[in-house]
Amino acid sequence: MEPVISPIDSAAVVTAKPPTPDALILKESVKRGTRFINRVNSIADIAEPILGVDRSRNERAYIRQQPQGKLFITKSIHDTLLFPKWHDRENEERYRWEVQPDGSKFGYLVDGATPGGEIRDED
Amino acid sequence: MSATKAQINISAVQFNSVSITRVTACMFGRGTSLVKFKGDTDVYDSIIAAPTLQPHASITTADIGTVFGFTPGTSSTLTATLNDALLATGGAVVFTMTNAVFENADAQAQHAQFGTVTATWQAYASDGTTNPLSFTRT
Repeated sequence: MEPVISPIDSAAVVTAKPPTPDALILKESVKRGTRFINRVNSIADIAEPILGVDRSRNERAYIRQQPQGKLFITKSIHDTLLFPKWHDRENEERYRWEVQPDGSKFGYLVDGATPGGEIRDED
Repeated sequence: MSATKAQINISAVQFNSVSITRVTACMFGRGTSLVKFKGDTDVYDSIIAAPTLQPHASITTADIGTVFGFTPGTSSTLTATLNDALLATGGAVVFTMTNAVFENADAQAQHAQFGTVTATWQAYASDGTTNPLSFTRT
């Protein structure tokens, strides 16, 4: 007789790895160093692993200074916080934000948002 | 060789996929404007706010022909790399300005001197919220 394996057998429980976020918001206060390159590197050191940046594939973490001392970081230069003005969903958030224990925010693209940014089709 | 933590010279300047070489100066600005308020019996400003951010850039180059080939009003991406002082790996910073709108080109040429042109750009945010100017490391 075949053994019956309970679907909630604790041995079979695997902690799911959280999905890689599409965007990241950090406080500017996490910057370290007094020189420009040190500050950029200190942010990239945090952001690149979280966003899954593969530098060997020429991916980079693009860091934007936003008001209120926040940094908006993504893998594409075309990403925006909101849908663009020309879009049917103008002013809507492109990300669903999850606040982390350290105060940073992980952003996940909402349904209908385009990875890499919304690009307008030229007529 | 480790990064020197200091930068010298701009390179890899591109606008609208066109390379700009012979660059002698480069500027990216955050474009912050302050507005001040005072009223009633105030003698000094009692509020200063920064409600407007207008990122902009300018490039000075000896390549007058290339820059004069840009059409004012053209919107594209402007990139430039500020290199490590001794070209050490990991010491350079890349400036990327999306939605950079080419504004103007002012050329000058003095007697017995190289001619140069200074080109200017203004940038907009397609959503009105996201900074069009970003930094990354090489």
